[in-house]
Amino acid sequence: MLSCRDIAKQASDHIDKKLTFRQSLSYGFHLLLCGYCRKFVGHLRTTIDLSHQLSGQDQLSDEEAASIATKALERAKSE
Amino acid sequence: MLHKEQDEQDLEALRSGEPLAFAALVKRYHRQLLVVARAIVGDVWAEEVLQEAWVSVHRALPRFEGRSSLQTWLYTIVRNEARTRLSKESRYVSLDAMAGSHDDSLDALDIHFKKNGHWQSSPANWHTDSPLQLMEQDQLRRCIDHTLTTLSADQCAVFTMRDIQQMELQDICNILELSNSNVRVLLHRARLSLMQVIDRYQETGTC
Repeated sequence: MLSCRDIAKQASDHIDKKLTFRQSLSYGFHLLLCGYCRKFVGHLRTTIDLSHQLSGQDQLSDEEAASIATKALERAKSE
Repeated sequence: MLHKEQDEQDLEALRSGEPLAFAALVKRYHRQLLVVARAIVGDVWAEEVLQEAWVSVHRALPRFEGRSSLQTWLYTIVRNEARTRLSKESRYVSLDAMAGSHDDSLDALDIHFKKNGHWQSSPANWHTDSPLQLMEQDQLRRCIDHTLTTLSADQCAVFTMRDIQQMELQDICNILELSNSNVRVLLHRARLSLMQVIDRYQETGTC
């Protein structure tokens, strides 16, 4: 029987579907019975979904990108 | 639009050496690739390695066959450039050998549990579970940005590739030359660090 600590430590594997069938059954059974763990896993899921939103937000400016690209093009042509 | 969709749209222009498409590619990926370069070679050489990698990318693009995604291909080139640099400096240490040397978030979790493994008390209630609403809060965005800078380089690389770029775990293992179990531990630690920040923000309104 998994403890709540086990549930917290395996939460990413559960969300990423990396648990074996047997582990998943045991994990799902614990979640069914434990509201605290459901809340914890829900928070971790929200954290991951939030991280997906970061995609595309941490980009260079057009000027920075153009400068790096130009340097690379010039180097590639000169060698 | 997702990066991958944009990559597919731009692929022909990139193969034919179109400068604007190349600059757009640099804009989309430079920061994320820098995170991976940092994880392998450290802060001092990361920018230089990445500049070399962009030269290699530009040269190799006409021959890119699309057997992997463009994103995976870019990360592989950066990995190779970084390894070349480390071999030149005779400093190659695999990330796998270093992974697991620091154990923070998983241990930090333990304070929430009794000896029998049950919760000491309920995890805090969050005012909102909506990622979109959370992202609209500037202060929280700043807290998250700051937290990403405090992660170890390998945690940050795995987190960026998996949760921001949404790459497959196996591709991350291949690129960073880490075992599957190490990638999963690093990823979980990074997520827990971020979750703790959101938790604190929900409770106090500050980082």
